This record gives sequence, C-alpha cells and structure tokens, in this order.
Amino acid sequence: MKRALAVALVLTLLATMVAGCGATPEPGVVEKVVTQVVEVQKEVTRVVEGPPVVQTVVETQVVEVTSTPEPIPEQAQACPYTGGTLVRAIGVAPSKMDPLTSNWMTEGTGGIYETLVTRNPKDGSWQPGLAESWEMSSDGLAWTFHLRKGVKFHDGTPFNADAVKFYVDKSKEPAFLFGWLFTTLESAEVVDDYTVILHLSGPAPNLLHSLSTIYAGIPSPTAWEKLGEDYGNVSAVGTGPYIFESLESDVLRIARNEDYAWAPQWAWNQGPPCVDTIEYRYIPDSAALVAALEAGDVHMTSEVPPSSVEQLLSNPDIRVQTVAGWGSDFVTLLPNPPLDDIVVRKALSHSLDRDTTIQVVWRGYAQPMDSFLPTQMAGYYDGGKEATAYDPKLAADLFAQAGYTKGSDGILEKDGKDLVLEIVTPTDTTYRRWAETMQAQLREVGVDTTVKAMEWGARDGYVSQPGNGHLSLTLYVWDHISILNFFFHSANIPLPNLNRLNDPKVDALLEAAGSAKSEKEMFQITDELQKYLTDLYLWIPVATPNQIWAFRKEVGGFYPSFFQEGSTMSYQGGVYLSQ
Amino acid sequence: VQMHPAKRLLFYATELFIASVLVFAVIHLIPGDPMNLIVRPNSPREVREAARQRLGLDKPLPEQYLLFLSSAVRGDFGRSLAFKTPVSKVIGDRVIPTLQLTFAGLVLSYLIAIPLGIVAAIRPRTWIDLMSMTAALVGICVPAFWLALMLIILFGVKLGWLPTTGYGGPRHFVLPVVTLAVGGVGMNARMMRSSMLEVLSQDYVVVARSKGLPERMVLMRHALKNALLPMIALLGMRIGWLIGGDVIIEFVFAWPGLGRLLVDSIMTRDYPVFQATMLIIVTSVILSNIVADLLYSRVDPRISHG
Repeated sequence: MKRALAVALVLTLLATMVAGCGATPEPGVVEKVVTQVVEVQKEVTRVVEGPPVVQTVVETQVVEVTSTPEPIPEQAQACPYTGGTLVRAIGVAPSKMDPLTSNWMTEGTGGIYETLVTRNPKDGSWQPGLAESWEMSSDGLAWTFHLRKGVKFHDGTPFNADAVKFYVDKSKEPAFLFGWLFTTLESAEVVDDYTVILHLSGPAPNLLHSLSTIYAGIPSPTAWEKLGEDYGNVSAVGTGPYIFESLESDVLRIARNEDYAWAPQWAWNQGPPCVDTIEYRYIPDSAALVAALEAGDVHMTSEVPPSSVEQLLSNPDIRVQTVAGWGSDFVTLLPNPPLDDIVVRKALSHSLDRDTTIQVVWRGYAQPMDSFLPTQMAGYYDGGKEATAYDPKLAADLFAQAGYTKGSDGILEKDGKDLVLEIVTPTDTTYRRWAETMQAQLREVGVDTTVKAMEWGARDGYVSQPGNGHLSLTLYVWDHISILNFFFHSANIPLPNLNRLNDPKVDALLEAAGSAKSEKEMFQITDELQKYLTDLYLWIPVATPNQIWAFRKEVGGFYPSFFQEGSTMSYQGGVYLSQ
Repeated sequence: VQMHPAKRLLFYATELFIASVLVFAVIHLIPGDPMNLIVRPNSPREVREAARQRLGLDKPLPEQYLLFLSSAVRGDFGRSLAFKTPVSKVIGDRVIPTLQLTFAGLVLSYLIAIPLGIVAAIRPRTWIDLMSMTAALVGICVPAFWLALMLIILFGVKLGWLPTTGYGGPRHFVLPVVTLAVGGVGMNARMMRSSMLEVLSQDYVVVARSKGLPERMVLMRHALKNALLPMIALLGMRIGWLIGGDVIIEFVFAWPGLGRLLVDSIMTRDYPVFQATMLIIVTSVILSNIVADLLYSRVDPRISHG
C-alpha cells in the first residue's frame, strides 16, 4: 500500500524542468527535540443552536522547545565512533537501483552513487561534487565541468570524462525516465580525462539542480554494460561512500567503501563512512515500524506517522526531529460543472479552514500553504494569501453571487437542485481523514459532499476522465519550482494536469521560464505565471506535511534534510553509531 | 465424489484454464494504466504508445491472453513492470519465506487445535470444554493485525525477547507463526470437537466400548481416525491459502511473502507479477485438493478411486 503511494509520489515527482533555482532556499528546519507536555486552559466557543456558549477546557499540548539535536560537527573531523551496522527503516520496498532506468530510487542509492553537483543540506546551495568546478559559456549553451581526480568506481573503473559522457549518452535513450531533467542537453564532449563540456540546445537555468538529483547519479560504465538488464538488481556500482552488498527480501545492504576520499567539501566526514554497513529495511506497517524503532531493531527512519510522534517523544532513547517538507497536499478543483464557474471555485477556496485541518489530519506536523510552492522554496509566490484565506462569510457571499440560495436543510441550492460535490481521495488513512474533515467544513458553508475513496491507480484513471469528481485530494513531493510545468502545461493533460488547463498564455510563460537567461529573469516570469494561475482558482493549497525523522539516541552525524524524498542526492557518509 | 482419474485430470485442467482467463481478465479490466509506472506522464503520446507496444500491451486482450498463456506454459512469465526483474525471480525470492511461515503456522495450529478439540469432545459440557472452546472462540475473533501488534509491543518492545519485524533466523519466526496459528486454532479446534463428538456417538464406538476396549484405545484407534477426516479436507483447503500467504501478517511483520506481493502488484498494476502469483496460488489449490483426495482415500478406505 505504501508502495502504491510511492508510485503516486514518483508520478508526482516527474516534472519538466522549466525553471531553475540556484538561489539558496532556507530549509526551515523545525527542530523539536525537547518537548514538554503541559496543561493549558483554553476558552472554546461552542455554538450549539442559539447563543454561543463559552467553555473553559483543559487540554494537554505538546510545547515545542527548539534546541539543536545531536550537533553535526561544524568542521571536518574524523569519525568519533567507527563500526557497527546502522539499520534504517524505509516505507517503500527497495527496488532496482539504476539511475538510467529506474522510476524510483530507494534511499540507499544516495550512499552508492554520486553526482557532479551536490547540494549543501545546511543552506541548499549548489556545491562541487564529482565536478570540482564548472563554468557556463556566455550564451548559456555550453557548460564546462572540471572533474575531480583520483575518483574510482567500486569496481575499480576510474571516474573520468568518459564516464560522464557514458551517462549523458545513455540518458538520451527512452529507457531513461527522467529525460525531462535534461530537455535541452544535446551531448557531452570529452576534452581530456578530467574535462567535459555539456552542450545544450537552449539555456537551462535548472541544469545544476538536475545534475544534483538522484537520477543524475553516475554509474560505472563497465558494470552497467556488463550486467545489462540485471544492472541495479544484482549489483549497483557508483563512486559513493558505500558499496552495494545485497538486495533481497526487501532488505538492501550497503557497506563502507574503504577507498572513499572524495566527500563533498561541506561534509564533516571527508574520509570513508563511520559505520561498517547500512541496512535499509522495508517495514510497510507504520505501527510496526514505530515498534521496531522503540525496540531498537531499527536505528532511524523518516517514516514516522504524525500520530506516533508524542509516543516517541516520551521515549528517552529516541530523538524526533521534524523538517519542513518540500511539496504540497492540495485540493484540485476538477473542471466539472458546477466548478466550471470560477465564482464557485472562489467560494470553495474560502471555505476550508487550514489550521483545523492540519491539527486533525497531520496532528499539527504540517505547514499551512497559501500558494503553489512551500514558502521556503525559491520562487515561492507570496500573493496567494488573500485568494486562499479562510473566510466563510465571503464564501457565503460568493455562493450567493453564483446564484445559490440556502434551502431549509441548510444546503445551498440552485434551480431547485442541491449543491452536491464529490471528493475523490486515495484510500490511505491520512487522506480519508482529510476528506472527512473537508466534508464537515464544506457542510458548514452549505455544500453537501460525497466521498469517493479509491486506491491510487484507480483514482488516476477516474479523475483523468472528464465529468468525474469535483474535489481531488492531490499531492506532490518535489524541491523545485519546475513542478508548475508538471501540473499546468497543456502537454500534461489529463494527468498530471488534472485541471485540464489548456491555456496558451500559461504554456508560453512556462516555456519562457524554462529558457530564461538568468534566475532573476526566470523568477520574474514565474511570479507572473503564479499570479495568473492564482486568479484562475485551480487548486486550494492546504498544507505541506513535515518530514518526521526519528533516531535512536546512539545515532549521530546525520544530516536530516529535505532532500531525502527521491529528488536531490543525499550524502550519508557522516552517520555514526555511538554504541 | 467418485471420478475416473483421466476425467478428474481433465476436470482440473479445465479448472486451471478458467482460472487463468479470470485472473487475466480481472487485472486487465480494473481501471489504471501500468504505463503510469513505466513512462513519465508528461512524455509525448508517441513515447507512451511505443512503450506500450514494446510490452505488447497494445494488442487486443484475447491476443495478449494467448501470448501470456503460451509463454506461461513454457514457464516464462516475463519481467515485472515494477521491479524490472524476471517475474520468476521476484516470486522465487518470496516463495520460501511464505511457505516457511505458513507451514509453521499451520503445524502449530494443528498441534494445539487437535488435542484441544479432543479434550473438549470427550468431556463435553464440562469446564474443560467450556475453557477450550472459549479459547478457540477468542482465537477466531481476535483480529490478526491487532494481535500481531500486541505481540510485537509485548515481546519485542517491552520485554525485548524477540525481533519486532523482518525475515531472518528462528527468532524472527516466533511472533508471526504464533499470530498465524492463533487464527487457525479457533477454527480447527471447533471443527475437531464437533467431528469427534459426532464420531463418539456412532454405533461402532459404542460397540468398541461394550467390547471392553480401554477408553484410550477406543479414542485413538477407532474414533480419532474417523474424526480426522474432515480435518484433512480442511487442510486441503488451507494449503492453497498457505501458499498465497497471509497478507495482513506479512504486512505487519514486514515479511517478504507472496501475499503482500500480490496486493502490491494489484496496486501498481504489475500485470505479469499478479498473473503469475495468482496462477501459482490457483495451481497449488488444485494440487492440494488432489493431495487431500488421495489422503482421504488412504485414511478412509470406503472412498476409493474407481
């Protein structure tokens, strides 16, 4: 079931890069290490037929106390502890680990492969990886990369310009599912062993981001050719700090690469990893996963369900850290009557109470959204607050404007017909709860709803058909503004462009952003685009769920960052076990 | 039911054929497109269709079925769409863990259920009967996922005696096997009790007793053998299920089994994996029915194959 979710995530991750972000977004780490449970008195106004009754209730609240968790060393140093097997629980079964053919890269790939460009988890800036430096030609069509010397793949093949060319050539083949990362990439030219030029057919402001993604991990050409279709299953060979050991029965093992001496500059551990082995264990059931963590069978995970956070916080052996998520959970307003009327969409947009939803659905472990991108993402458009504000009175006015009147049963009606909308939700508990919360909130403003819960695959088929459903609960997880192209370009109708938005202006803006000469220019275009999209009322942005990490107290040195979820390559060489 | 062996074989073959049609139809007819898994959604239509063609998914369904059948007969189930590995490997990796778990669970449940049922039957309407049947009832009623989590929390987290989840050494087997057995004990013990009670009221038991045979002899030699017949039939029905695995237990204990694979393959529209897994389950149900029939005739000479 988690796998299905993952597949949906992957689908959602796929985005045509149109815009780049080389700026340094603030990761917005919410650290919640020390917490206290306190009782607070709260005045609650309840309206039950008649005058409001004010009651004082006592409720317990988890108070956040921000402190630094196990501090990550500021400067490069040797491992404080060496050895041991670190067990990480993952929520998606590990599968084929080939950047050139996989549609989902499991977490462990970040230990095996490396990329030309890395992203510093502290500030999100682009930093050297396998490339020591790079420069762009004045027309933006040729990027020269100077490669790091002395780097070797795990099978002994030297890492050089030929290996980069191999990757670029293979990425042009249809089997590479992430070709959209490099739409304008034409070819790689080997200048000498350690210099390679990437030739583009048009400017690509997003190239550095693309080159830092998990799908730009460079495999050993020798191993890739030798293993053919089995590459990634029986072995996976990169240049990373860990060597592929085994992948079977939903367990992936990677072991220390003793020769590793080319960590990114920003990593505190410049040498081989501290632990002997990392074991990624797939535990599909979240309650069992939490139990495994409490029992010490598992050392760390990023799959903690919000409902288990309090329980884990009360365990002195476990640290919990929540990190602002990158992505969005939102409601797609499907273009089926009566939602073809923008006034109705507008009214709905003011009918949802985000704060309550976040409390009920994510137990508070989410950030409210008011636009297409999370606030910390470069290119975030801040003009969406008004259009998405919770304002039931305004909603009522708008419904009236659209010709609806309240019937005796409190339901809005027009031409003698009740306003009944269909909410389409995936079957996962979180989404169902969200659908029910929404149902209650819409009932408040007089909209009657039905809930249709479907598993992901069926849901995709259902909402892609014109006429089906009105409010579709949708999500994406992606750390880049290019997601706009994914959801709004007319080429992506009906999936993922569920709005079936076929607007030449939107397409033109998306394309202009993708070939902008500078980032500044690009963000000007995306601002205009997002303003235009906001005024169309296509989505109701709701929340970005936090990523919740939990660690046994013996785990240290790890960078929990937003980059984990299948996009940017994450460095894992620093994690250690103190016991 | 008596049937000529040749006729019987034909019957099973037909059964298998019908099942294969159903399996194929079911997975292809539910909405959802595996292309969503294989091709990036924003790729041009041509790329999508090219991929569909490469996998043969553009052909009419009957033709696809025939292709599937002809390679399946040769033991080739193709490659998994989700894992990109040969289906035989995907399934092969999971068959052993599934069988280990389910057989251990089955054996344990019979080891508990049969004595429990016998004891209850020979002392009907006493406190022993009441206790054992209450225990059996509880076993039936307790939901497996709840019991699994309770066992994990008690023995894995609180006491720390056993691993919470995962597939591995003998200690990893204890909790899932117990969870699986508890569910089976309830049904089997009640079955055993009623079957035993029925047999004990038969004339030949009365005769055996009146001959002055020791009670132990009456129970073990005469009654038990006959009382076990329905249990064997039940066993035959269970084996197919055992090979299919128990989705819930595999899910909670993160057990790499076939049941979970089957569910996941439906979710991801992994047609080849679903079809192969289902066919294996269907085949094993049929095989186990054959085995149960044979066992039946061994235990009860009255049933013979003419």
